[in-house]
Amino acid sequence: MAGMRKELVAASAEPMILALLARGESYGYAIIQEISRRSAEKIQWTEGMLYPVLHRLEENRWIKSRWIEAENGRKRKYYSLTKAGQKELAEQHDNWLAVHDVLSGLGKADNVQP
Amino acid sequence: MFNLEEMIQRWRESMQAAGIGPGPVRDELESHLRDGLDAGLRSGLNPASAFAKATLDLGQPQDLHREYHAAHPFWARVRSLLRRRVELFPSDMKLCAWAAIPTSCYGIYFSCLNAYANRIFFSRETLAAGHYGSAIQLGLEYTLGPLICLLTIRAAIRYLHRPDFGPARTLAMFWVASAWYIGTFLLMLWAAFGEGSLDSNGRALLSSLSMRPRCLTIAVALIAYHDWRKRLQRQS
Repeated sequence: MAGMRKELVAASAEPMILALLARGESYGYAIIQEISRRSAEKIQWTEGMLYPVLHRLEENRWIKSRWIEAENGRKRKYYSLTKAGQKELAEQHDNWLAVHDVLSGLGKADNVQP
Repeated sequence: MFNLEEMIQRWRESMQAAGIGPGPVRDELESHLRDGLDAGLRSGLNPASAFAKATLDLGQPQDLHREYHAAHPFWARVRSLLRRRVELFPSDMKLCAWAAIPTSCYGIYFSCLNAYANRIFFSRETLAAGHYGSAIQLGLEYTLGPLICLLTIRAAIRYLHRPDFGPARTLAMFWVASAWYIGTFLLMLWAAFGEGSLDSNGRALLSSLSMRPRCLTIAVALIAYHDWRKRLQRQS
């Protein structure tokens, strides 16, 4: 996303990944494509950003992974949400909603009276 | 002639050279690369162009390494490892420590009195007779025995409930527990056979065997107490 700060991308990656995996297990490439599609290509994650985050989430035991072999013999590492991850997602979701509510309440800069 | 598999192999080697690893990490990146390649081929690119685009999208090995390193700096990894170890069974550890302290203190006090009176701090005779002549051994037995039992049982329970706990760690726990049991058992046998008395052999065996259930009872009681407290907390 043009102009989107790196810190914001990093901070929002965790809840977005958790929320995506709450819908079902997925793998790295599909996660990037799905986020890009859902954000109308405004959010473009790089692989270098995604995989370390996935590994960190796995280390925190919020997600777990397993290798699945496709019919053509190709292996993919699928990630899925754990119970701890569901709890974490609920918590992070609430936090982001709180931020969203405050920003929505304040309105955009051009609506603000001087 | 463009050889895709050879190019992928070279790409893997460049990842390894950049310090990206271990193997499964590179496997995952390769899987991603192949997905990108497939997408490129589907969009009509030739294999060479699809490969070039996929590797470009994935990023330079050095950049990837930097990202991985930023996400997993050494001390962060060490802290995470330590935290995980501490988080393994924090409440169990506390419970165990509380249970072990009085029993250890009592055992050490009693043993010290005995040892002082007899001027024996460690001997085959006292071991063979099923007594603890050594205050240190008694303290360790009462402190580590329940703790190891507790950890072993907990590991088994966790493994049953949480497959991500990992069989390797569970096996390691069982191994540590078994080593301790076998070690103490052999020590007693050594003492008993060293003395060469059938009577004392029998007593040593009995003592050794009776010691295990004692530790297990403490461990099971602690687990039951812990679970009961957790249930109460959940209900409240």
